[in-house]
Amino acid sequence: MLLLFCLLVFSGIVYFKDFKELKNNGAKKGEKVLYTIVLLVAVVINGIYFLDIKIKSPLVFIVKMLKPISKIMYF
Amino acid sequence: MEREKKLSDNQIWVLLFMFTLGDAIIFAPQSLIVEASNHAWISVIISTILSLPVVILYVKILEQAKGTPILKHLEVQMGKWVAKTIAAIFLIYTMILCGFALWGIIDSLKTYLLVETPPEAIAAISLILVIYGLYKGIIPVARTAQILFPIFIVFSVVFFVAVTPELKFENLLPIKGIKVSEIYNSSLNFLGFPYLEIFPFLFLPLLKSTEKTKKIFVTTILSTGVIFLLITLLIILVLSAPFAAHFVYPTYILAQKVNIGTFLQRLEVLMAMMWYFTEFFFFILNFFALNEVFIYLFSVKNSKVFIIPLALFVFVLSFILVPDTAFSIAFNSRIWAPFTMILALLIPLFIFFTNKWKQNKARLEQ
Repeated sequence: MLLLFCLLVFSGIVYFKDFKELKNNGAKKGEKVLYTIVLLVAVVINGIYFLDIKIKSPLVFIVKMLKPISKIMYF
Repeated sequence: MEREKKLSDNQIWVLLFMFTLGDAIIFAPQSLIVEASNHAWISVIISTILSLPVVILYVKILEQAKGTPILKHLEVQMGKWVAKTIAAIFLIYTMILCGFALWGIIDSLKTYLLVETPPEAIAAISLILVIYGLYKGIIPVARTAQILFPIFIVFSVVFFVAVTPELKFENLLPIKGIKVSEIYNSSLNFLGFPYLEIFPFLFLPLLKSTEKTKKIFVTTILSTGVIFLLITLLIILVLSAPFAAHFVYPTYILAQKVNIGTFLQRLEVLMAMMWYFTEFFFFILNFFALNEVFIYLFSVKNSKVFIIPLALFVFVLSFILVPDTAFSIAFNSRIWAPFTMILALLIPLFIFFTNKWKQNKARLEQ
């Protein structure tokens, strides 16, 4: 919970700081929206991890996909 | 007069050297020895030789790009959609590599050195360093590598010399019972990890090909090959292959064996620090590649703004990517090589031949 709180505070500060920088640099609306989405998704995934909710490793899908190729390639 | 901003030949050499050693310096010997036992050193030689044509292919791709970033060059040659698709594939690949690099740092430090420290703390501290490096840019990172490189070499030489009194040449025997399948499997693994993993290096900012690039890449691969060969041989000669196969980090156990006249001992912590440097450079350079691919894929103008969100992704990825050590061993021994071969061999081959075909077509039309 403490980690989650730290994450939220940290990402809040980062968001306002970077959004200001984006504005100052004259970023287009699309870039601002992209930044918000990327940061939001990152915070949500981190939040899920900090709440101890099990997330399946993305490598499991790669293993499933590549098992037949691996069987051909190895002795 | 403002100097042209690009990595010097020496900086490319040092960065590629650190990048290739990366986390393979502590992870690769174990998988090699598990697969090929006391013949693991033969696999190192074979895969180093096999990696040379691949590295030359990478250099050729850099030469074809003629100083423009590879993805932008792809867009000119193959069109926007093909370039964006390749960028999307490499976004996933570099993100996985970053996750693996951070997981490697956490796991190696937590297993022997910082046993009581929460992994999140190790990950956060490593990420802060990486974020700082990314904000500063590739040139300061390259200069740091140049400063650390001689220290790394001196300590490695001291380590290699200090461990020689423990050598037992009978551990290398029997040489006769070599199984082709064992050598083939371990060579394939070693080709995938670390040699094919160097492809994201081509995405680095300010990396431009010169007439010396081919020489730089080939000599770096050969030098790292020598270091891998020495480490693998020393592990087999000092620890013996069956004993070393029990440990996830036999290189660290090897460093623990250093004892000269009960005076020079506990060298492993110093060596672990050196290996942390190589792991760190592997991580930060992959992060540079990830950032570059992301900037291109989404046509971002303000590149630095996205560093922290991407770091947050990498942070969580390092914890969820590898569920347990058994999974990581199985993944590294049977899945990683086919995975990298598709991404870092087939796609570069496709890029190279398409570029060649386009260039020939343009020449014929003139």
